[in-house]
Amino acid sequence: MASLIDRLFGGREPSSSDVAKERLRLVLVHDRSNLTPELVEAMKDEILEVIARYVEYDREAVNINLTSVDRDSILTAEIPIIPDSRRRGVPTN
Amino acid sequence: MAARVITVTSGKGGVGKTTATANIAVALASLGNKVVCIDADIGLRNLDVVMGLENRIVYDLVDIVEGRAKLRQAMIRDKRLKEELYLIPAAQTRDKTAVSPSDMVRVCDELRPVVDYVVIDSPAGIERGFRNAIAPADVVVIVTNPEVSSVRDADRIIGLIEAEGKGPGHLVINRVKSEMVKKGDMLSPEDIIDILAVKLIGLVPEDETILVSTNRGLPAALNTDDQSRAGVAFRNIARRITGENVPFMPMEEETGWLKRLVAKVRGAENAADKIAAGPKPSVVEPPKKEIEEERAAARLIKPVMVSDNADGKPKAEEKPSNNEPVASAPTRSAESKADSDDEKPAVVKAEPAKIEPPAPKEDEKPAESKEVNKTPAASTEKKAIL
Ligand SMILES: Nc1ncnc2c1ncn2[C@@H]1O[C@H](COP(=O)(O)OP(=O)(O)OP(=O)(O)O)[C@@H](O)[C@H]1O
Ligand SMILES: [Mg+2]
Repeated sequence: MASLIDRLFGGREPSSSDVAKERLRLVLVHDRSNLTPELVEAMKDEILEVIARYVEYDREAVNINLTSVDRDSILTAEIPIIPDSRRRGVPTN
Repeated sequence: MAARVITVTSGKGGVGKTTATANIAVALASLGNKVVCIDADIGLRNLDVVMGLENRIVYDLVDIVEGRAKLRQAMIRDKRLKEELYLIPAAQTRDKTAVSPSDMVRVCDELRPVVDYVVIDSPAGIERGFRNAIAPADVVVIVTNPEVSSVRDADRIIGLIEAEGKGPGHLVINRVKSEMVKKGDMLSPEDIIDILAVKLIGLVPEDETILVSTNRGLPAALNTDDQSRAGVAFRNIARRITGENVPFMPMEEETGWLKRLVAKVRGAENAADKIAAGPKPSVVEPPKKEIEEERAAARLIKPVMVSDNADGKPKAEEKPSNNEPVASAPTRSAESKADSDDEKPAVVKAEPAKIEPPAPKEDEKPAESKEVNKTPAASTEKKAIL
């Protein structure tokens, strides 16, 4: 939580209203979609499971996000695929 | 005459619904409208004392609903105004189940032909009392304070009224402390509008004259000498409700964040257009004092701290249409076919999947909000307004 806020405010000490705004954003994303943070995590895991069946992806760089735009809940996923060329060099087990 | 029914609600308790109801009603009447306010907070009657009419109650809302009194008999006239302002008080010894949403619709339908505005004070919460209060509403005014729990509750209310086909709601931010906003210790009006994505219809400062006027049973908006900043703010809300174009400040000064404020004000004006019954009166320049008040309110709005895309929000153009299946199959973007000596791993971008909230029935959503969601162009425009 703290690290997220640090990232958003680029190291600058966030004011209490900055913190309030970000906390509100997060809580409303879950309120509006009726998805608890645990459910979102479970959904992410399942999505990645499916992706892994088809391609190899960069686990470190995965970015799956539930956000609100206007009043709609939007799920976005950015899943970097490891290119074939690089994969070939790496021995697989 | 065909009255408009305005319901004042909030979700969270104690944010200023009753104060707002009394002041908006007084202000609407002062503008020459025939107004009836209804206290729908049955069992916790309060509007009578805030308006200073508590000593004149004979019959109440439940007496009307249960046939012990005619509507006229339960309407208490506020004699301090030369214009017609009436109160229908709540019953104090009964509970919310004594009245049903259809009772409220019936009472308001009886009033519609004979008055200009009906203003309903809703109880806190989202249960029966709230349902009663919004059932007859043409316009829902949501009151919030600049703090997390009341904004969260306001969000819930906005969702509920949209699901009921009573949206979009109109927001009043009450008890704004400009000093705290400046110090970064209070959510700014801009933060709140940004989060709630709703139209602003009023900014009311924290003001001791509210307590003083409540002590005396004389709503702050009764005083036309402009001694109360909150009173002026409530009068401006009433004027926006009647369709008057009440600018927050002269347009010449719009630069940078001021421009954003002006955009918001235009949003509020649009809201007022919607609310306005009948032909829109011509724009009247607000008295100098009121411009000053709005400037004070305007100063509270500071630039947005977080850029739109800081949290990975998709751009408006990427927005899928309403019938896009949830978690639709990822489509390979052009980037994924980039030459293999590119160091960057290829990226598969999933189309943003829209999560439909479970409750509301599709066909009950207001047509207008649906349209806004549908076309990317319209949603970009909506962003600009808010
Ligand atoms: N702008 C303001 N400045 C100062 N005090 C205010 C302001 N608005 C409301 N108050 C005070 O806040 C308190 C709660 O207001 P009010 O009774 O109108 O809230 P409410 O939302 O109707 O409460 P409930 O949910 O219990 O019905 C009152 O003491 C009132 O005087
Ligand atoms: Mg109240």
